[in-house]
Amino acid sequence: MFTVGNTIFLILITVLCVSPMIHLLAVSLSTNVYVIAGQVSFWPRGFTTAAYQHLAVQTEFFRALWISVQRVVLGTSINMIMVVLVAYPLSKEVSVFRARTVFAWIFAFTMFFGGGLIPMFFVIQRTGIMGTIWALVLPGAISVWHAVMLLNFFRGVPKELEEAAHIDGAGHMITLVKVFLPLSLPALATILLFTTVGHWNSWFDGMIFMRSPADFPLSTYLAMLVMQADTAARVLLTPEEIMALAEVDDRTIRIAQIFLGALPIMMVYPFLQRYFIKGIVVGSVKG
Amino acid sequence: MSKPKSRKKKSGQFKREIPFYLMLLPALVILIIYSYLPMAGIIMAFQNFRPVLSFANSPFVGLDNFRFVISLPTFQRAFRNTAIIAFWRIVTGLSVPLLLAILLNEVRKKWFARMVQTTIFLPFFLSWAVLGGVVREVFSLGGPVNQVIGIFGGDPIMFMGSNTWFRTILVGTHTWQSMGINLIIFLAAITNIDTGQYEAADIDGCNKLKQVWHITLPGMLPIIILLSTLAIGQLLNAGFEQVLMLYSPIVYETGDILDTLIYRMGLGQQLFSPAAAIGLFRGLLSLVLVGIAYWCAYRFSDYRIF
Amino acid sequence: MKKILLLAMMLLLAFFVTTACGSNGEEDTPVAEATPTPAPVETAEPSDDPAPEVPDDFDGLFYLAPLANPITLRLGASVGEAGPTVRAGITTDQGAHNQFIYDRIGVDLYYMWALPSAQAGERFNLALATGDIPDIMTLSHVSFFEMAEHGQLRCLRAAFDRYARPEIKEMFESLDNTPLDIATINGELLAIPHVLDPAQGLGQIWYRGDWADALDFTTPTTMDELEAMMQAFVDNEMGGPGTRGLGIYSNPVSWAPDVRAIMHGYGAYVGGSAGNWLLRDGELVNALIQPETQNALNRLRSWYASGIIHPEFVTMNIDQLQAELSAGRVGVISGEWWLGHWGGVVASMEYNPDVEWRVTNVVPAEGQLGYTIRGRANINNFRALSANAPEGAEEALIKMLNWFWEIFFVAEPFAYIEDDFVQTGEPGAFVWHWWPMLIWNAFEQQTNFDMVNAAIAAGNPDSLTSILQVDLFNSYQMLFNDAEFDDWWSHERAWGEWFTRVAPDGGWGTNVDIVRRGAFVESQFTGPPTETHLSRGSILHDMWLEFYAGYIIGNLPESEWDAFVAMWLATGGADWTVEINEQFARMQ
Repeated sequence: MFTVGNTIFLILITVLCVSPMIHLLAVSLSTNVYVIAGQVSFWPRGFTTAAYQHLAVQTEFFRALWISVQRVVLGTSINMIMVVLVAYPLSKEVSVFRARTVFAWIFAFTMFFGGGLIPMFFVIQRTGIMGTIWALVLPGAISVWHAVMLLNFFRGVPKELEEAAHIDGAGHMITLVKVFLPLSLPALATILLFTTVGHWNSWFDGMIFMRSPADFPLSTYLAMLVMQADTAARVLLTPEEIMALAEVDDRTIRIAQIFLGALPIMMVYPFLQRYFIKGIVVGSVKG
Repeated sequence: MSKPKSRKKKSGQFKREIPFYLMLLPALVILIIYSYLPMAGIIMAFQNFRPVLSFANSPFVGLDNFRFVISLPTFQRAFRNTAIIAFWRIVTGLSVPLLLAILLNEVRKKWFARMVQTTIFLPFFLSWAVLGGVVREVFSLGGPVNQVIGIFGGDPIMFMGSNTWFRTILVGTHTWQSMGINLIIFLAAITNIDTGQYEAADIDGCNKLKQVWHITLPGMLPIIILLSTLAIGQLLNAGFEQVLMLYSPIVYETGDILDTLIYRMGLGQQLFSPAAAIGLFRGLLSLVLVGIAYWCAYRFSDYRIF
Repeated sequence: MKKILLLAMMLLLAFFVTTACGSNGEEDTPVAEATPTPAPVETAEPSDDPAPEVPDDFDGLFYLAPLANPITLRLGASVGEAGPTVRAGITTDQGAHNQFIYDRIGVDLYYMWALPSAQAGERFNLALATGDIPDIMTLSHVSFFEMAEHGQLRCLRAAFDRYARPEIKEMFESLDNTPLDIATINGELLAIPHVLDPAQGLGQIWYRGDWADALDFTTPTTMDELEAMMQAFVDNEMGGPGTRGLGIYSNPVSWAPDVRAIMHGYGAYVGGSAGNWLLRDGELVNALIQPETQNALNRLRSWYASGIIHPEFVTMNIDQLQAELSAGRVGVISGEWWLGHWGGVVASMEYNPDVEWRVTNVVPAEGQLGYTIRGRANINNFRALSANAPEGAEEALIKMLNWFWEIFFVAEPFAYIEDDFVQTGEPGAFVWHWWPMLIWNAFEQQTNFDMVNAAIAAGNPDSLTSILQVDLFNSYQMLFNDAEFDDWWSHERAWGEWFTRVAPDGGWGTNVDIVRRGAFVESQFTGPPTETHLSRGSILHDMWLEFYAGYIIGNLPESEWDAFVAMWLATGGADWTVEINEQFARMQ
C-alpha cells in the first residue's frame, strides 16, 4: 500500500519535473509561427528539424560550448582542490588546531559581504586576468558553503582510522588522501556535481569580465540570446531598432540552443550517481 | 577548550599545526584578493557614488543612503515581502527535499530511484528567463491548473495577478525548480546512516514511520541543522531573477522584493549607493542571524556548524 | 571505484593546466587581428588615392579626407543583432567597418568591449568608475549631463564648424539648432546629439480591417465608434473564443502596443517613462495626474469590465501579448507608425494570410480634439569625446559621422555593403548600424515616403537614390504588380515595409496627415533630468504604473484617484514639477 502510493507520488513528481524539458523539445521541433502564437505545448506543431539543421552549421554555439567545457574542467578542478584543502584543517577539533574557529569565521564572513561589482571589476583588472578564462574561475575558487559541508562530513570519519594512519607514520596530507577522501566519496561527488553545475550555469561573470561574445561560455551566450530577444525595456526607438523589430523573433532556434545547452550537463548527474550508492562509508569503516 | 600548559608544549603544538596552515594558505590568498579586497567597495554605501567620480572623488554622505532607502514608501513593503517569501522558501526548500529523500530511500528498485533523482534535478538546469514563460502559461486563466479547477467545478483563478496567490506560486515554483539540490545532500547524508540499525528495527517489528522517526531523522539531524543555519543567511534573499520574470505591477503589493525594487530604481539611472546600503544591511543582518544560530547549536548541542 | 574518482580529479587537474594556458594566450590576442579581411580597399595604409566608389571630386570633399596623422581610438560597442544579410557569428568588433574606417579616415578602432546593450551600459559604468574611459562614447541623457558637469567631455565646436558636412549642419538648422543648443553647456558643444524626427512618436490606432469589413464597420472617427467596433469584435468572436478588442500588456504606457493613443483621445497626453510636460496657463504640468487622464482611465476601466481588454492583461508580458496577437485574437492595438512592421503583427499575417491591418489617427472622445503629442527635440543619445582622447580625435569623430552620412544618404548607398557581399560571395561583415559613431538623417523617413510615392506614381524607380527606397518600391511591385517574392522578402515583410513606410493610408502616411493637419500638441520638456527625477523618478513611475493597473481592472474605486494624485505629488512629484518649471523659465 505504502509502496504503491509512494511510487505513484514519485512518478507524479517526475512528470512535473521533466515536463518543461519536453515542452522545450517540442518547441524546438515546431514551426516558428506556431511557437510565437503560443500554440505548442508538449507536441510539436508543424514538425521540422530546421532549427537543428541551422545550428549544425553554426560555429558560435560550438565555440561557446568548448569555452564552457574548458571553464568547467579548470574551474571545477581548482574548486575541488581548494574545498578539500580548506575543509580538512577546519574539520579538526580546537584542541588539535587551535586557530580553526578564527579561520572558520574568516572564511564564513565572505558568505555575507561583498563589495559589489565595481571593486570586483577593479581587482580583476589590476590582477591582469580581465578577459581571460581565469576571470571566470579565480574569483569563485573558494566555495565556503561547500567547504562547510565537506568539513561536516570529514567529522563523521571515525577517529580510529585517522589515528591508525598516524601510527603508521602518515602525515596529514597522506591521511587526507588515503583515509578521508575515500570515505567521503558521496560528499565529494555531491560537491563535484554542484561545482560543475555552478560553473556551467553561471552567465553573469562572462558578460562582465569577457570582452566580446566570441569569448563567452555557453550559458552567457544563451543568456545573450534571451536578452537580445527581449525588447521590452525600450522607450524611444532608433531607426536600427525599428528595423530589428521587423524580424520575427526566431524562438525555435533560440529554444533549440537552450535545449542543447542543457543536455551535456544533464549527463553529469547519472555519471556521478554511482557514488551516491548507499553504504559506501559504512562498508569501508567495517572493512 | 585546551589550555596551553607550558610554553614548550605550545610551540610543539604549533609545529604540529604547520601542515594545517600550509593547507589553508592558497585558499587564504585567493580569498584575500578576490573576496576581502573588493569589500572596500562597501564605502559606496556611505558615499553618493557616481561612476564619473569613482571612489576617490565621490562625496561622503554618512548614513544618507540608509535614510533614503528607509524613507521610500515602497521600502517597507518590499522588505516585508522579501522576508516572508525568503522564509517560506527556506521552509519548503528544506522540508520538501527531506521528504523526498526519505521517500526515495524506501524505493527498492534501484533504477526507479535513479530515474526519479535525475529528473528531479532537471528544472534546475533551466534559467528563470526560460522557465518564467512556462510558469506563466501553466497558471494563466486558460492554463492547465485552471482547467483542473474547472473539472472540479471551481471558478478560474487569476493566479499571476492575485495578491492572495502570488507568493505561494513564487515559493512553490522555486521549490520545484531547486529541490534537486538539497535532495542530493540529504541522500548523501542518508548513506551515512548505518544500515544495521534498520535491520535491527525490522527484527524488533518497528513500522516504516517509526524507523524514519527514530533512525533516519536523528541520523540526518546534523546535516539538517547545518543546512538550516546556512539557509538563515539567505533570509533576505527572495530570488531576484525568478520574481523579475513572474511579477507585474498588480502584484507589487505582495511580490515586490528588495532586489526588484533596487533594480527598477536603477533602470533610469544607476543608484549604486542605495543598492550598496541595502547590500550592507542585508549582510549584517545575515551575519547576526547566522551568528545566533551558530551560537545556539554550539551552546545547546556542543556542535560547531563550521 | 573510489580510485576512479580520484584519478578523474587528477586528470582534470592535468587538463586544466594545459588548456588554461593555451586559452590564456588566445585571449590576449589583440582584437585587430581578429578583424575579417574583406574590405573595399586593398591597401592597409590610409591612402590618398580615391577608391573607385568615391566620387571624382573626392579631393574637393575635404570633410571626407583622412586625418593627417592616423590615430587609435578606444571605444566600447553594444552588439546589435546583425540580421540575415550578415555572416553568422560576426560581432561588432569584427565587422568590416573597422577596416573601412582605418582605410578611409585613418582611425584604428580598439574595442574595449563588445557586449549586448544591457551589459554594455553596465560595462560603461564600470569603465567610468575605474577611470578607464573610452575615447569615443555614445551617452544617455543622464551620463551626458553628468560627465559634462564634471569636465570629462571635449568641446567639439571647432571641429564641427570646420569639418561637418553641409547636410548635417542643414539638418540641425532645420530643427532650429535646438538639439545642438541642448548639447552646448557654458558655450562648449560637448556632444553631437543623435536626433530622430519629432514625428516618430505620434500616436496611432491600428485595427483589423478584415474584421471591420465583415461586420460593416468603417474607419472609426470617435471613441464611441471605436468602442462599438471593438465590442462587436468580441461579441462575434471574430478570432474564435477569447477574442479581445484592445491588445495591451502589463505595462500599459510603454513603447509597444499600449494605451497611449487611446488616452490621447481624451487629451490625456501621457507617454514615455518621464510622462509628458504640458503647458497650462504658463506652468508646466505633468500629464500623468491631470483630470482628463482619469476620464481616459475610466473608459479603459469600462472596457476591461465588458471584456474588450484581456482579463489577464495586468500579468501578461510582451511575449504573451505577441502570442495573442499572432494567433489572431486581438482586434485593435494602439501605438506608433511602425507597428505594422512589428514582429507580432507580421507573425499574425504569417499565421493567417487573410489578416489585414489598417491604421487611423487618434480618435477623439466626446468634446475632445483627437490630437496626439509630439516632442520638441527627439534626442536619442549623444555622441561625445572623452577629455583624455588623443589629439585629433575631434576631427576623427566628425569624419566618422560624415562618412556614415556618405554611405547611407549620399553616395550610391549601401554600395559598401554590396562590395563586401560581392567580394566574399557570402553574407558579409558590413552592417550599417555597427558604425561606431553614426548620425541619422532625421528626415530620411519623410524623404523616402515622398520619393517612393513619386516613383510609384511615375511607375519608374530611376529617380530613387537609396537601396532602402528601391526595396520599398519593389515591395510595392511585389504586392500589387505580381513581382516575385523570395524567402527572405516574404509577402508579410513586403507588406510591413510598404504599409508602414510608403502607403499614404499607412503608418507614416498617417503621421504625414497628422502633421499636415497640425493635430498634435507639443511636449515642452527638453532639459536634463532634474535632481528629483534622478532620485525619485523610478518610485513615481512605479506609483502610477501600479495605480493605473489596479484602477483599470477595477480593484480600486474611482474615489482613489484623488488620493493617488496627492501621493504622487507628496512623494516627489511636486518637487519635480517645481524643478522643471525653474528649468523651463531659465531656458525661455
